[in-house]
Amino acid sequence: MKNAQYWMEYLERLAEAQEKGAIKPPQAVEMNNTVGKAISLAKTSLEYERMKQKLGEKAITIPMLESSETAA
Amino acid sequence: MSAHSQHAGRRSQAASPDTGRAGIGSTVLLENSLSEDERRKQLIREKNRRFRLRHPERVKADNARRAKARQEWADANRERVREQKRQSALRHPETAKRYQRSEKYRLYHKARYAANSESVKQRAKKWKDENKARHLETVRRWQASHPVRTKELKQKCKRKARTTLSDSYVKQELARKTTLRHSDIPQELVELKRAHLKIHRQLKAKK
Repeated sequence: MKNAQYWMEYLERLAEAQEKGAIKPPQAVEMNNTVGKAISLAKTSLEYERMKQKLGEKAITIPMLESSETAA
Repeated sequence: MSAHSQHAGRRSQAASPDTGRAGIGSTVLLENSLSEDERRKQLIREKNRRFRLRHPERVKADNARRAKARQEWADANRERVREQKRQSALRHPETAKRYQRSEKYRLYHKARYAANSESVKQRAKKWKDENKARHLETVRRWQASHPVRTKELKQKCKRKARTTLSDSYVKQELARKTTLRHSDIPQELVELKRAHLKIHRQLKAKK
């Protein structure tokens, strides 16, 4: 996952802010859910890559998942 | 009759003085039935027994020397000894099983494990890696014969994985409701998911 490092740092900052009490729990939950969505996207990307490898030339290309931003 | 057999005959009579004529007759029959070789062996046995009684210290020292030499040979030929033991266990499975269930076996292996736990673990792991099929078969056989214990152990293992957020548990979570296999998931994603789950749990506890 190309963006894993970025999201790890994001979570570290979130954990620190959470400990200090700088962020209230409802906001922290939202922020954590954002990471969850990023993980879901990475999973989708991985699945897409896997299917593409399996099907070879028959695979249908999905441009959004092809972009470097979302690639796992 | 030779000197050896006369001697042996006298011994037999002396051992049973009240046997009467019939006793003497049976001794003679026994004497006749023994071959020359057997008589010689009997004499040697008797001679050795007398020697042991006369010189117990020398016998003890001799036994200790032999045991030491045996141990030295065994240390120098570990593989050969192991192979001999393996062959013996294959030839006599019942005896091997009885020994494995004995207290002596349990204590020996407990002490050995305590003294060399790391090397024992490493060797066991190496063996498992080299003999995966055999190891799996053994595990399955044990699990089939101990269903209750197996269930308990599996539950314990799963509980531990959940608590410590082990790699396998996190991968299981990631692969749920997808076509992904554990081998498809990169380690970075596992680390990220672990951190995500940790924060999720902390927040859940605060609610």
